[in-house]
Amino acid sequence: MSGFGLIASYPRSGNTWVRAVLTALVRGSGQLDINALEGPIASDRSFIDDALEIETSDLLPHEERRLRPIAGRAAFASDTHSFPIKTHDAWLPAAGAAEPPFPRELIDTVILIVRDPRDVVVSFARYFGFTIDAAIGAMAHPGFSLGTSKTGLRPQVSQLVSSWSGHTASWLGSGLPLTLIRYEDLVAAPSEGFAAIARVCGYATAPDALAMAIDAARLDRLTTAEARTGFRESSPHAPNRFFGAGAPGGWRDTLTAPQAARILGDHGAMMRELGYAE
Amino acid sequence: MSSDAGAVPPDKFLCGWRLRTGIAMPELAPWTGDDRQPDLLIHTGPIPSQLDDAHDVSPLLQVNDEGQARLSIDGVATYWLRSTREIVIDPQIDVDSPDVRTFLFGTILGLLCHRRGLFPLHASCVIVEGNAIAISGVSGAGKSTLAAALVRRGHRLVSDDICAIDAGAPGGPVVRPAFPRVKLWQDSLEAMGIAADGLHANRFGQNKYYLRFSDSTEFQMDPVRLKAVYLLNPLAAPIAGREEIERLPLMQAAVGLHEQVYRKRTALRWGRAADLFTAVGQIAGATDIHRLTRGPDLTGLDALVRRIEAHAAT
Repeated sequence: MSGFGLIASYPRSGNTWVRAVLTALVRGSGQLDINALEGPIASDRSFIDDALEIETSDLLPHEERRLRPIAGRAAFASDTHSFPIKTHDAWLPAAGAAEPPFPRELIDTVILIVRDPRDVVVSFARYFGFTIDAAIGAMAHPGFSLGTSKTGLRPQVSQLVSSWSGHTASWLGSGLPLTLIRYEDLVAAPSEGFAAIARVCGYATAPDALAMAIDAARLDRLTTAEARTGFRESSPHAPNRFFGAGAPGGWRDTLTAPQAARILGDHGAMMRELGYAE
Repeated sequence: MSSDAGAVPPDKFLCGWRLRTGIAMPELAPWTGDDRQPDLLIHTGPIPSQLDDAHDVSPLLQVNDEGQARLSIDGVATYWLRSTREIVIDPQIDVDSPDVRTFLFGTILGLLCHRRGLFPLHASCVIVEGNAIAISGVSGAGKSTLAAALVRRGHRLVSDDICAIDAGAPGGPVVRPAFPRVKLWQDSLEAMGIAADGLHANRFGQNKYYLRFSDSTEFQMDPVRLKAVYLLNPLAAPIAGREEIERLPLMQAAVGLHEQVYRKRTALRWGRAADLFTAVGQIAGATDIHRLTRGPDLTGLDALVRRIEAHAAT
């Protein structure tokens, strides 16, 4: 591959799980260190500082937004990344930016992971310590961003995530070579789902190797590892553990009927398109 | 030479160099050394849009094999490191505003260190009980906050963010003091109980400020032997592990130092790979390199500062 691949998803939708399985797969080991997952994280501040040779902490927010795709273009053109890059960005230009954060012509493949927004709401609220209603509100906001602070420095630069519908629609409509994976399908049939992901990444997919990788990155193992060592990719501003239950349909035990209805009202069209609106 | 009109103010001190400039640089200490000619001139003037035989190290930074560099920050200024003795600034705003100095004392100072054969470590440096310690790490790791907190407990500041090390100095690596100022975000100021009122903002409209320590007892001007480096390893989350200080074996120490070379890509472009390798070996061989794992926020700042203080004094 000449460029790079992306693993794109809304936050709390299984992106890290996919990276964990792929890490175990490329290392060919049944042991997985969750604090040494493969792949750059596209919004890492130090990655962008290195690309620009300045401290982005000295930039104003609009300058940072403008320069991020420019930095990405420079960094990705000179590096070859065999492992796909994780992102929660929408495929949208942030305010003041001329284009989305990744240079289109260097993207070989996008793996878009989607998850029922009702389960995303529950996971989002639990991890960040939000109320359910606040999480629903954030996920309905077209300008929703991660990594913004006016009073201190975040380890990642600002990322325009947008609403759940807006995020999903931006990638589906991007015209990029895209493989759509539903988180629920990955949980139900991981061998098939991860074989498809491995294939588009250009990795060998021998059934034994894949089964070992899926087992090494089982959610209960990730949860146990986080309890023991912590997880360095967890947000410094999230008060709770990164890895949660991850059970599809778990929202039925948590959301009230009006909350579920509100999510359906916010995102019904996209949910129907993805088979989430039964 | 200078395009600045009027009287030239008294010379300044920067990393041991005698600096002459007509541009306001209130954070620099006055030159109190010998009556040598200036080592460095900084003045305003026109800058070519393209350096001769330029290579783009980044979308903002051109360099050439003569060791020149041209940094362009839209809406602030263009900077030309023309030689080891001359920096030209073409400002787009008032040249005396702090925004102009933010990038001058960032990337440009780092590149000047490389050109003058110093080893710029991404670190802040403080003298604790007579021992110079460098606190190193990526942006946001807490270098400036820890340095400022140590200074407020009575220790002397040597530099902030860029620690200019003369690795091959006789008797072992020494740090060349820069200026008595740290840059702190509002969150850090608040954690130390300092009001931001009256402080210059790092950038106009940004809640990151210049905190100056102008009392001469707070600033160290003589080169000072580097005793220890603490490589900051900020924990991601409150639930993740515990704080600790761990001395690194030589190889890990060398790798950790090399990771924190300031503006390393440009230095490598200038062919400094072997020099940096040598300097890393000299520093790792002559100083104690520790990994300092700290919590993710500022709630434990006071305890952490006391811990570093006690550790550095031994």
